[in-house]
Amino acid sequence: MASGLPDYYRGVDIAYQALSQMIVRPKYGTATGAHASESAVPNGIVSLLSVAGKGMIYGGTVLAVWVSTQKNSIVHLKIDGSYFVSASFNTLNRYGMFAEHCFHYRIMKFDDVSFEYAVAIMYGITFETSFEVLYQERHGVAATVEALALYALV
Amino acid sequence: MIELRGIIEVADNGHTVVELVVTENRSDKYKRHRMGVDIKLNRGKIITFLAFVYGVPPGDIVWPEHIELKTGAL
Repeated sequence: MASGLPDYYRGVDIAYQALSQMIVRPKYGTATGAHASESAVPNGIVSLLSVAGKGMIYGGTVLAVWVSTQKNSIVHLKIDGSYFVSASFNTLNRYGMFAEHCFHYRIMKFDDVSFEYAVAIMYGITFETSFEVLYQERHGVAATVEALALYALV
Repeated sequence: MIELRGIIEVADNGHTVVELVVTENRSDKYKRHRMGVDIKLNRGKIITFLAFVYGVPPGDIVWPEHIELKTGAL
């Protein structure tokens, strides 16, 4: 002790205490998941899953598989009560939004022959009170939609 | 101390499944309880449910400020 004071009188000081490194990470609770499967309301919006709490989204997917097209249907993400800007499967595909973090979700599959569509929700979205995944059907049919989300609550 | 950490509502083929995430004593230990299906939620129902599950008075259930019900019916 150069100063003559015990260690507990000082805060953490990397230089003073000669620590080679310090690892800091946000503290989150146990990772958990939710899975939803629902028939979309023709020309309406259906809530697939909603979580009330505080935490972070690790990732997720929304899958729409039907016998006719769903290309103009939209996945919505509502964080802390506010809707994020959304885009249809067709728009995501048309503008090549396949890359990580290009949007709050990216398109993974766009097959307008077999009518299979999928988006992935981005890692790292934090929420203070709630998040919700919704599906807006825009072709007038009751398509089956599945959603999966992985997240942590603090 | 029983503290509510999250409310999860999941659509399941025309039904809504409600689950609660709860901590008991340590902030990093979580438990998940299935509360039921197609329940119209309000604060009283959740607190009563948790009080019954843990065998404690409803007043011992901690409801954090940041948790809001979707309906806003607190």
